[in-house]
Amino acid sequence: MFGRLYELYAPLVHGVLLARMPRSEVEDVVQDIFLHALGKLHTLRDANAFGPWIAMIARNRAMDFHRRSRETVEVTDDLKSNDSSGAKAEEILAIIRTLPDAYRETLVLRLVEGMTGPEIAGRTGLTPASVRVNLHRGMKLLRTKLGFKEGLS
Amino acid sequence: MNSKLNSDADYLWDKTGEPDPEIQQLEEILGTLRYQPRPLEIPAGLDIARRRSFFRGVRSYAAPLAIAATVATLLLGLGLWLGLQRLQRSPQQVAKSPETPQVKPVPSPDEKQRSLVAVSSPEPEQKGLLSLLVAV
Repeated sequence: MFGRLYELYAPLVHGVLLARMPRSEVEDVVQDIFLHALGKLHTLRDANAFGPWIAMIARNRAMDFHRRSRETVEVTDDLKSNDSSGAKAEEILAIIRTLPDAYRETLVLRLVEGMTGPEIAGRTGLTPASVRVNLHRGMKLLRTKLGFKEGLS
Repeated sequence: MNSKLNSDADYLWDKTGEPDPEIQQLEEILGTLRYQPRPLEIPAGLDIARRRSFFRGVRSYAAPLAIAATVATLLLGLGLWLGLQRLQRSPQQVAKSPETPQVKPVPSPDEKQRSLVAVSSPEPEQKGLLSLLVAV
């Protein structure tokens, strides 16, 4: 049962974290979040709210990560990648991370995790209208930033 | 331009309609960062909390409940004991009470004078004096 939830919602948690945290940390934090959720599952009253609940845990975990990072040492730039396509991806992701919170999360779920708008709405608990607005506005900002910077090619 | 925006909107929203080359390119590049399925590694000692049952909830309050029950039992016992004591003491007190009237036997004519003496439950010291008066 929980394994099925993990399969279904791990990409959501991964996307939520990737929009906020260094990629090198994300994989382990995804596991941590699901283990934490497994321990706290009894506190979830509405089973249908699992997606929004675990997405909120992921957002809080990302905030904690940045709080702790600020207290100890500045997060190192993890955008280094051996292959050029990976480097390009990290570069675009870095630009997406500069966008407002709602836009970057929705865009990462759409462009990185490959979810459709209705899927994003269903898993995050946001209304389809909100997701649609976030996607369009976020994409518009991203296009501007990418065009302003260097373009995609 | 307008048709391009509309096709963008459709494709961006639910991947239907005419694909936008820029979005497709972004999907292709960013897709390399996509989540790679990995089995959830659950540590052996992980305490998986279950929904708390009624008895489990009660168990956590066992010590305060036991103390409260003991205090309540003691208070109840004390109350019963005091009540019984009062009940046992009451008949004696009624008999001894100075205000309690006593029925005096019907006096004979020669005892009229003696009947004038109000009879009440006398104190031990007064008892001797009264007996003297009665004798007179």
